[in-house]
Amino acid sequence: MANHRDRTETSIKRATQVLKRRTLILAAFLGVAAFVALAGRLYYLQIICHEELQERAVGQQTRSSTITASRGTIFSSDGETLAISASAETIFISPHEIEETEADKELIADTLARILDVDRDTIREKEDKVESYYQVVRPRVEKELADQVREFINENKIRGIYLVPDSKRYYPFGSLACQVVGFVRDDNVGAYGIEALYDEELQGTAGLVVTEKNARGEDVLYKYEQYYDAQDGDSLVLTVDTNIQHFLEQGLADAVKKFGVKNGAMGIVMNAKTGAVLAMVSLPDYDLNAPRTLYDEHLTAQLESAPEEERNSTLADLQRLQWRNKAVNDTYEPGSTFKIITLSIALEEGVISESSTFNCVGKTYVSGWEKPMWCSKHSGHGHQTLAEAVAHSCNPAFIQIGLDIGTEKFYDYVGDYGFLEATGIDLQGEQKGIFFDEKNFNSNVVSLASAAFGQTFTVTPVALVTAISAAVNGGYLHQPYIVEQVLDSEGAVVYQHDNTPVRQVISEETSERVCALLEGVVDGGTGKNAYVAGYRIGGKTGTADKTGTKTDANPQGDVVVSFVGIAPIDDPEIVLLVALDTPSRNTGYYVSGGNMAAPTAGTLMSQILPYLGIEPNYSGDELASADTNVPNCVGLSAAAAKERLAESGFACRTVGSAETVTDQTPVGGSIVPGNAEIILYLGAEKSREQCTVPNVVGKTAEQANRELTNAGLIMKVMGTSGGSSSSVYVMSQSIAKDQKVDAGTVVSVQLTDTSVTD
Amino acid sequence: MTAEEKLEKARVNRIMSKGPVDVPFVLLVLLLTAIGVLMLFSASFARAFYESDSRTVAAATSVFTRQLAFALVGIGAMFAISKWDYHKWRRLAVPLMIFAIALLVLVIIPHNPLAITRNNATRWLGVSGFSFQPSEVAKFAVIVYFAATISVKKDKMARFKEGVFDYMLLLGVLSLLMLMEPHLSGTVLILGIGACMMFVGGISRGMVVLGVGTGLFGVLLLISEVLPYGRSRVMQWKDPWAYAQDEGYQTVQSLLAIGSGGLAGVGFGKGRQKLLYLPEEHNDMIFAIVCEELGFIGAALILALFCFLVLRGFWIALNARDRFGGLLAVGITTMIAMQTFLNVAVVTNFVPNTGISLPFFSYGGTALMIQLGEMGVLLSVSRQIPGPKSG
Repeated sequence: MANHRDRTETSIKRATQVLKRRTLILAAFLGVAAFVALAGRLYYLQIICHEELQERAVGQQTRSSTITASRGTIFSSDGETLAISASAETIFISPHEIEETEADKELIADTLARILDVDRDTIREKEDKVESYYQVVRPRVEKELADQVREFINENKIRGIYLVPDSKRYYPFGSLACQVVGFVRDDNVGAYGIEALYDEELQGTAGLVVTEKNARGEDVLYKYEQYYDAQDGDSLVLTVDTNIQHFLEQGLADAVKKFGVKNGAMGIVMNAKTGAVLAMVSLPDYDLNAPRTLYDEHLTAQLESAPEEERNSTLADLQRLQWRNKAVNDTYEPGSTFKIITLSIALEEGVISESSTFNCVGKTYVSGWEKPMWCSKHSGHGHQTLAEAVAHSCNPAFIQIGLDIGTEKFYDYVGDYGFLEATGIDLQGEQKGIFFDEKNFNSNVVSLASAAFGQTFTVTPVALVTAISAAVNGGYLHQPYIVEQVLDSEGAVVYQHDNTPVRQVISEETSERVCALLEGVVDGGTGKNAYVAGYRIGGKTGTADKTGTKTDANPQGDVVVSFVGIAPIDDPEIVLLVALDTPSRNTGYYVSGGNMAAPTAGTLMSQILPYLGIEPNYSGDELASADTNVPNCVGLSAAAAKERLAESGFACRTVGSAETVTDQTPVGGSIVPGNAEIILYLGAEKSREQCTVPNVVGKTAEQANRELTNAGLIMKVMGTSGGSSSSVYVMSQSIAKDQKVDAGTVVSVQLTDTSVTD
Repeated sequence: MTAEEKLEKARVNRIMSKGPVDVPFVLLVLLLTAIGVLMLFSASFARAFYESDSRTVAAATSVFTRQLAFALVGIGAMFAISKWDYHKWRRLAVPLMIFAIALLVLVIIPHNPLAITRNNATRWLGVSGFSFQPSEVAKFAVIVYFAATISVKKDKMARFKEGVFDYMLLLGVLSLLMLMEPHLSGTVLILGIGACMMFVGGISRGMVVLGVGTGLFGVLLLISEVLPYGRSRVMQWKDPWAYAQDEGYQTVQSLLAIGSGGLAGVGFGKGRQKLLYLPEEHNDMIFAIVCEELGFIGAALILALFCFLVLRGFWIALNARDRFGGLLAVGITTMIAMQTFLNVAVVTNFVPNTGISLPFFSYGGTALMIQLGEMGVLLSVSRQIPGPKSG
């Protein structure tokens, strides 16, 4: 019995021991290990993943509505609006909600397609993406259409069509200064030009309202709201003047057409005293309101000839081509226009003077180069003074001048003029011209010889104009620039361009001497076709071979013809560059800067200088043919009328026999050349018959004048100095032949001297 | 035992059952209940408000006031039960088990007017607003029945037939009935509680190794996604973000709530995830709201309270006057511990998602009352802990 009890007791004891031991083990697992694991997990989620999870949570818990900042306006220097934003609305659908509310998909697609002029099937496809909450139907719709959509939503009580405020960029001047202004992407972020470069300033800061919401999208019990003000973008005032820009675009477009220019054209008008770019043109151009469309016929032809599968990539390439601002994005060999720089260096260093003389036999040899270096006039210019060498654009003379300067000095000045680096103009993607490596350049004189007349290295058009501005303005190199002022949304000036020059390259005296010599280029030299009566213009022509374009099919190679004009030359205000890339050799015009770029520049000068308020100052010869206001003689006696006309320098003839003047041609107030003849009608009926304009293109100035006068018209002469030369012909006439016009109408003719070879 | 001995024992039991309750344990229970009811208020008012037609303060606080009432009644019940000599449960073990099985059968009878189906699972029995889960009764029945039988089997538990087979048979029947509801989490709990009590009760080491091994193998099988069963649940567990819009929504919302809390929390009542984002925010997912509003500090403190409660529960088990009391305490403590662990693990996506409530916190009046009642049973065990021997 006792034995049994003992055994029972030991078994109880052992079982109790097991129970206690195992309870402890259980406590260790369930009471300690489990909680440590949970605490670790909580630490991971709440401390380590805190920010990530919180961000996601806030993302769903709040509704933030952006208040779009209005993008700044871009103004021209003459106060015109080049780019402006107007509010618009983007219309999107929430296919998920449309599906959920079982709205009529067909009706929605039909109606939106009708109102918004969007393809109906495209909308249907978007509606079928039922997982999506956001499918844009049409971005940036104007208010009128948006109102129609709103009306449709309200009438049919549809959930799932939404309008969000947005803004749309407008370019009131279309293609004007397109490469400078640039355009914005679909999301209103600048893509090209000033729009892209000054995107930060123009953008402003979007405002934000953050409100808390519950999972159903309702506002919550206790309101949590945060409001961040939108900061409207700054506006820009450019240096570009819409009128000058327009003149330059028109002039270049005409030249491209007239001379069959294949690779487009570029032009710059710069304020010589500050570096402000008054106009900058690159052709082909495009309409900023639809930048993706190709406008140039050469470009559209290229696209059409591209194979089907390459259409898209070809289109993209061509778009980039028309968006390209050749004036800063491309480099070219400046040719003879660069002689201005060589000349200024030589004068500054005193290696030549106005009394230096040069002998040109049509070619010259330079040590280290076996082949001859040719002058544009292969027969040679013979003995010439410095002024003549400049006016002739004589290569051998300039090779000599370059050698006199020496490689090291030449290289230093090239650097001082800013050709070794980009100018830093505030435009996108400015390229740097390619000049020689300093060590190589200084090791021999061959490079110097060709560089002296502007070949075998490249510059950007803007860098050339900048350097020439420095050479003629007293020697001060300025950084060229486009943005004159930045205005905040209140109109206060927050930035004003600083006109301090970068450095002085040559002395003011040297600069004056350079100007004087350059005047000779237009006054009877290779630039005579740029002559404008009443203005003193200096300049330099350029006809630069495009290295590597000479082939069997094209033995003469392609050229860039250019002209740099400076006016008024006694106190330069503007520097104008006109460059035409690859003019056709088949238009009947001798291919040279003097024949193509110079007359283009002359026409431009005759428009730009009066616009800038620079008064013409006629010389004696010029005065006779200068524009004069015709006095009104109607009602005067015949004698008094004749006296008054004589005072103004006009000749006259009378028709009829009455005492008093009853009519006159041209009518009083007309502006005609001062050597024109005025017809006074004394009682006789003024001939109402219209005159037919004759064709005078290709005629000499004398012949043209005779034919126009015979037709009852008045000729006004434009371009070229020394109009008596036998090589001067009419290049163009302002009114096309066979047009019917009133008697006494002024027909402007552009004269050109075809003997110019550079 | 003679009649005299029996009388003597009853007298001793009566005296012993008048002993003092374990104060730390009572305080922990009261503290957790109080915090739980307050957190329930915070977690529930948004949905109560938005989903009511009236949208009044009364509507917003309706869930809270109901739970508060049950908590007060439950605390009263806890003290009443603690004064009841726990040995009396031994005689109720078999009837309770039969009752529990009857309820489990009742709930799965199709078209039964008393059975309530929520979320495709028929787990509730109830009439007019009052409902309860038969599985709550079954858990308690298993604890009492196991404690009663294991305590007398003593070292016979080491035998396969007495120690393992009989219990597995019973657990098998209960699991089958519960899986028919279906109620996976309840089944896991009952199996877990049963297994722990068998382990503590003294089954052979070989069986322990076999059991743990089988369990681990099962878990590995599930994670490896070899079985078609539960595969999608495991996939959601591994990457809930991939299913954030559908099956993983609840988990993702819970993680967002927990993560938003950070170290110090967004403040009591100021949580945003309860604004209809997080489903079940005042039921199974309430701990996520706790984490969001009270932060890591608050959540860790509450976990610490649970931890102390569990450890104190096991302490009571170790010091219980007899094997029956000890096993009762082990069973009840294990239940609380497992439920707490699984709930927080689910909420933090530590284990795959399954519906399991957090003791003292989750909404459910009858469940809270039953839990507090079970705490009462544990306290009644604590009353009979022999005091330190004097002299």
